[in-house]
Amino acid sequence: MSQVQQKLELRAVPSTDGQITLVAPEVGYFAAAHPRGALLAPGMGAGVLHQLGKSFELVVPKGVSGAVVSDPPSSAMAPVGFGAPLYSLDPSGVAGIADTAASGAGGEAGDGQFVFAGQSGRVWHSPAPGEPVFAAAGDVVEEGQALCLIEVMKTFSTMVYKAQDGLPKRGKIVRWFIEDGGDAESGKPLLEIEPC
Amino acid sequence: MFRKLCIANRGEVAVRIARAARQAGAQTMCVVSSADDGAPWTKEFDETVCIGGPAPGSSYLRAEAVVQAARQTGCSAVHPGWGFLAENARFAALCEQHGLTFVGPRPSLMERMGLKWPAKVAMREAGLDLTPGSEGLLETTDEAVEVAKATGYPVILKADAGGGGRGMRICHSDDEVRKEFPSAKAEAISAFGNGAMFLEKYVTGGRHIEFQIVGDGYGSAVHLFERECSIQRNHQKLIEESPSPALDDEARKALGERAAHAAATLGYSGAGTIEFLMHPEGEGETAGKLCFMEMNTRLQVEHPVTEMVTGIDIVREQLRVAAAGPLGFTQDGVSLEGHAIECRINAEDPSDNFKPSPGTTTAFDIPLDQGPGRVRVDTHMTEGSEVSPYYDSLVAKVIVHAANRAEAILTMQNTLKASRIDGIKTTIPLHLAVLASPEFQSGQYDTRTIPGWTQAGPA
Repeated sequence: MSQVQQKLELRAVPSTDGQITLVAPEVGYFAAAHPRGALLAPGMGAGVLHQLGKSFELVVPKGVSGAVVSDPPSSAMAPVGFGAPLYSLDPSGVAGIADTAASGAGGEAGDGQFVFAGQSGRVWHSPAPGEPVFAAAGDVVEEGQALCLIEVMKTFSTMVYKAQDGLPKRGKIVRWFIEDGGDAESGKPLLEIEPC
Repeated sequence: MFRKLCIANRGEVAVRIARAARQAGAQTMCVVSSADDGAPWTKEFDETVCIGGPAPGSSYLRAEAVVQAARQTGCSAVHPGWGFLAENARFAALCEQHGLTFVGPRPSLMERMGLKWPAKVAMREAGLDLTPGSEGLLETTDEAVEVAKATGYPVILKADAGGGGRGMRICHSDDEVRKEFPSAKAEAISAFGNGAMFLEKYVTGGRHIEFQIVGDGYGSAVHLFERECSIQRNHQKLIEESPSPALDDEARKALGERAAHAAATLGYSGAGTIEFLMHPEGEGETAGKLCFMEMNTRLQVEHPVTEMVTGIDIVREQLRVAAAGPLGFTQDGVSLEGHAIECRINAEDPSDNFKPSPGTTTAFDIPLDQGPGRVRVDTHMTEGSEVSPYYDSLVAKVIVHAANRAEAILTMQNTLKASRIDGIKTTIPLHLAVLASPEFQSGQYDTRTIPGWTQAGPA
C-alpha cells in the first residue's frame, strides 16, 4: 500500500446522546481503524483513508477525545463516502480512567494537549516500588524532566518530557490516562497537559 | 453493456441518464453532495455516494473524489452529463487511467475541441465554413491590426482558451485594436494561463443553429438533424426547436451531411453538437451562411427535442457506443417527423430581472394531456422539492411534439397555461409571452432580442 502522504482531520459531529461522531472528511477506503474501547485524543492518528493511490492519515481534531464505543468496519478496506460515520466516541470514557481531570484541573475538558506513548509497554510512575512518583497530576513539568518508566521486555527506559509537536515548554499535568503498572500503546495518549 | 454506471452529475440530467441506464440493463451509482444527499430524486439510483460539501467546488467538480467513488462501488463507466466535469479532458483521462470508461469522446479530442483555434482548423479541414478572420494565432499587436483591417470592422478578439467573455474584446477601428489587443492578451494569460489570441469578424444577431451528431469512434458518424436555439438571454438558451424554421429541406440535408462528415473525420465517438451561427443579412458574402462556432463534446440540455423528432434515445446511444457497440441505426434510418419545441423552466423571476428564486415547491404539476400534440417533461422535481441555492436554476424541461410547428406551439401554450408550480418563481410567464409573439409564431427571430418580451416584462 502506498505510504501516508498527508494528514487529514476527521470531522466531529456532536450527537444528542452526548456522544461525538467522527465522520469521514473524504470519500475513499477507510483502513487501520481503532477497535472498540480505544482512547482517542486530539492530534492522534485514527486510521488511514485511501483515495486513488493517495493515503491520508486521519487525525482526531482539536478539542475531541473519548473512548471508541463503535465497532470498526468488518472490512479491512471499507469504502466510505464523505460524511460517513467512522467512530462513535464517549467523551466520558476518558474521564472514567482519570476522573480527577475533566473539571478538577481548571482547564476546560478536551482543551489540553497530550503526551503520547512513543512505544508500547508497561508504564511505571515511580523509579522503584515505594518511591515517590516522577510526576503526578497537578505537577508542573519542564523540558527534559522524567515522566515515567516504560518497561519493554524487561528493559526499562525513562520517558522524559519533550516540548515538541506544539507542547508547551512548561506544562501542568491535568491527568494521567495510564495508571501505574498499566499498559501503554504506541501512539496513544499517556497524559494530558496544559500550558502554565 | 456496463454492469454499473457512475453518474457524475445531479438533478434533472442525473435522473435522465439513470433512465437510459436502466433501459440498457445497467445499475446506477450517482455521486451526490451533502446538500443533495437524501433528496427525493436520489431514490432514482441504485446507490449514491456522498463526495463532499454543497458547493460544486467541494463535490461535483472534484475529479478525484468522483473517480474514487466510482472505483469503490465497482462501477465500470462514468457518464458526466453536462456542466461540471463534462468537458474536462483531465477528468476523462483520469477515468481511463483508473480503468473506467468515460462516456464521451477521447480526452485528446475533447482537449482539441476545447481550444477555439484548433477546433476551427479541424472543422475547416472537415469542410465547414468559418466566420472570416485571422488565419491562425496572432502574435503581435501590429499583426492583429493588419488582420483586423483586412477582415473589416467590427471584429472580435478572442482568447484561444477563452470562456466566460474573458480575453474577449469587440473593436471598431485600428486604434481600438491597438489599445485592446495587449490588455485582452494579458487578461487571457491571467485567466487561462494561455495568451494565444485570434480574431474574427464580429457578427451581431444571426441565428444559433446546431447539429446533433453521433459517432461510433471507428470513423463513422451520423447526424440527427438540427436544433434552432436562437431564443436566448445572456447566451443562455431558453427555447429550442427542431426543425429550424430558417432552414429548408435541401439546406438541412446538405449541412447535416457536412456535420456528420466532420464528426467522422475526427473519429468522434458518442454524442456531440456542432454549433453554427447563421449570418444575418448585411454580412456581405457570408449572409445566410452557417459558419462554425464551436463543438460541444457532450450531451446537450436540449437533446430531447431531437429525440422527439427522430425517435432516437441519444443517451441510450451514448451508452451503446461507450460500451464499444455499434450505433443502433444508420443515416438512412434517421428521419425527421413533425416538430418539437422545448421550454426550459428555470427557478427565476422574469418580472424581477430573472433573479434566482430558490425555495421549496408547494405545488408542482405539469400536465401531459393538454394536446393536441404529445408532451414530455424531464425533471427531478415534485411537490415539496427544494430548489437549492448552490446549483443552477433549471427545474424542468417541457418538451412537446406535434405534427407541425403551429400545433407544437399550441400544445406548449396549453401545457404551460395549465401548469402549476408554487413556492418558487419560474420563467413560465416569459415562455408564454414568447410563444404568443408574432415573431416566434412566424419563425422570424434571431439571437438579439427575446420576441414578445422587454426588460419590463411581456411586450
